[in-house]
Amino acid sequence: MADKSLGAPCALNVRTVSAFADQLLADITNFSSVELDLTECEELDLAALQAISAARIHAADTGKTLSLSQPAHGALRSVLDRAGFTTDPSPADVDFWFHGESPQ
Amino acid sequence: MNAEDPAAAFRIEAGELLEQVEQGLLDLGHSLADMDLINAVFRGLHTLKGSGAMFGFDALAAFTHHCETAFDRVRKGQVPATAELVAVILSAQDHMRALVEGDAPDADGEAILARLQHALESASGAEPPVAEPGADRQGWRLFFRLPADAMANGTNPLMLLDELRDLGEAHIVARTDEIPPLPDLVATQCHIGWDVTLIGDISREDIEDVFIFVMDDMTLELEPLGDETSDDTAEADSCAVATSPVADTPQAGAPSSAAAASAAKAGESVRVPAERLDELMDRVGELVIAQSRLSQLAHDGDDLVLRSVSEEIERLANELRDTMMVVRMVPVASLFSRFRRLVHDLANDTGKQIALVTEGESTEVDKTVIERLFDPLVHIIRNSCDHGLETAAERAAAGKPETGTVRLSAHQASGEVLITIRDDGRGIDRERVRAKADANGLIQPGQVLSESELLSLIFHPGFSTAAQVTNLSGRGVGMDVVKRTIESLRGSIDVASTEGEGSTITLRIPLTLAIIQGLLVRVGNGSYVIPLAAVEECIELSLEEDFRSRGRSLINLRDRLVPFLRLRELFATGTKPDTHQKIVIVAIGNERVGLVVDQIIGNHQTVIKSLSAFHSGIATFSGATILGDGNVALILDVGQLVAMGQSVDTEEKIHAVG
Repeated sequence: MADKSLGAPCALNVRTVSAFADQLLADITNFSSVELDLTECEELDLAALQAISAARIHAADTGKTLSLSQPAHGALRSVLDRAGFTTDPSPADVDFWFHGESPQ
Repeated sequence: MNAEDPAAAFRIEAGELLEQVEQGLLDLGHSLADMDLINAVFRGLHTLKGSGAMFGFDALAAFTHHCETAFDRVRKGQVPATAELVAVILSAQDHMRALVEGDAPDADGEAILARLQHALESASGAEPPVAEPGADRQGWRLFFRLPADAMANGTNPLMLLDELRDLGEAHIVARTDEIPPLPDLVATQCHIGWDVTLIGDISREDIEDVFIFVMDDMTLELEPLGDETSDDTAEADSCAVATSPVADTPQAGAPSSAAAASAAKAGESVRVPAERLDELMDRVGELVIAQSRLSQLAHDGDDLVLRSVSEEIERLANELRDTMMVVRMVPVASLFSRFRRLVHDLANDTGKQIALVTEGESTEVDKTVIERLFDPLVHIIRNSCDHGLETAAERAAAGKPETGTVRLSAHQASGEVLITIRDDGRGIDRERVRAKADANGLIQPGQVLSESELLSLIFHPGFSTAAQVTNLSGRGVGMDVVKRTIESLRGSIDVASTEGEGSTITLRIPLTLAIIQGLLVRVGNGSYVIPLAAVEECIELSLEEDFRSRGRSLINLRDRLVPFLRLRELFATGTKPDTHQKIVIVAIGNERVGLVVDQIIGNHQTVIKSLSAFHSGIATFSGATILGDGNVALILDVGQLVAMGQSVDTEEKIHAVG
């Protein structure tokens, strides 16, 4: 069980991503483990994937844990596919985005 | 338009793009195999999609994407262009317009896409796509990284990736190694790169087209796939992922020819809101008035230096005015091209075969005039197609070609532009016009009417000879509105018709609505301006002749009787006539009238000011201007005066006969 659960807005895109990234950074700073809940997120774009990827790097750098509340599906899965994140993913990527289940 | 409003700028750009696409599609309808046209339509759709996504018109971009994909298949020879496909894209283009304006029903878009799918399937059936199972696999390996600010500027990288996928079999791997840790991330900047392997018959230009809007600042490494592409795909894929492609052909900073062409084009013209041009025109007008006052002062005094400076300013002001007039001029081609679609749709709606022929498209007219001419011309062309032209069977029976022709032409003649709409249809049925006018009480039973009077009845409000009201015309609300609009432009409208051969409607429109060359005259104590373009000659009216012609206002001009109007009496000046009165002969078309004035003062640069709403009902005047001494001179409406003179002429002739 993560110390903190952070929900994302319905639309997480280049227009809204900055506020979300700020909140995410604050939570990673203040908690040892953060769980992202993207189930309410219906619209994502590349800026969202990039912010989450940057958060993963920061969490790893600082010894914190960042995870998704659910394996990627729906809008998130679709954006990952379109952005080329699911082609030849590393094991760490499979663990993070798909909770260990191969996306193929 | 607010210059800062990118959405408004995009709407204008989209309008122009859609216009180009429409013209391309209409041309393509006549020659389905023309690759230049197919490419032009594809490029138009491609640009519309890219710009739309950039400016946040996501629905438009998504919808246009489907049409672009369809045309992409056509240009690659995978499916042939068919009339059905062209028709569907034409209707899709209407939907795109609605999407640009933000009032497009979703259901329409879905229905069009379903029709598009059907058209593509039918086209595929007509000529199956060329399958090359045994052919060597061709393709490209590329790495690209977008400019950091691409997303913030409206580029959606996901759509670019989708476009790459549309080009062929694509293997796309995101490179996330340059994403910084969250504290260092500017979340709206793009730090992701992509390794892409594209397999298919894809040209370098196809790939560069995808990046046309970001090409200048991006990193693009592109190399053709070598022999290894004939190996299995997995190997090619792993190769693309594992190796960092060598930048054999780095494209960063080297814009493609298409991008260079578009950049060059952008440098050739500047888009300026029309209202700024209007403001500038107003300022030029004020300057001309001020210069006119200065010129008068300089000539009244003896200061040679002041006179010299005044003449210099006059020259500069005139040049500025001429330049300004040219800036506002646009070719009527932009107006005429909009009717091709109208005629195309009318032909479909009426089941008639109609060809639109345009001539003189390079004729230039003031932009405001062009805009205000659109609606009247729509009415006239609709009437020609609906009432004028016969069905193919009727035409064949009458010994005419089955395809009816509507000819739209423009040319300049002495300060006016003449726009002629001519059809080779059945002509105006005079008996029906007379019967209708009788029924409506517009004329007395048995009233004698000249040819032009009879035909001009069609401009009467509520007049229509159409037996049936169709969705095209026949509501009787058209031609009177047309006449009013043309007159509001200080223009005139003439109609001529030969039964069985067709009708011709001629619009005479002034080249500009802002400044005219005028002839300044004095009547009584007031100054008036007569538009110089309408003036044919000036002759003297001696007191003896004036006296002789009392009660019979006709003058013998080279063996032709020309009616004249005594402006002094018409304006009730209450002054005595000058000893040496002049007659200014003015003409509109073939009609001539003399205007008796007390004195001709000379040429005058006339900056036209509108009359107030209170005075606008006075038909004799079309506007006012400010003279060099600060006084106001009214501008005579020559069209109205000629009509008035002609009616006096007719009355007098009838009187003479009686």
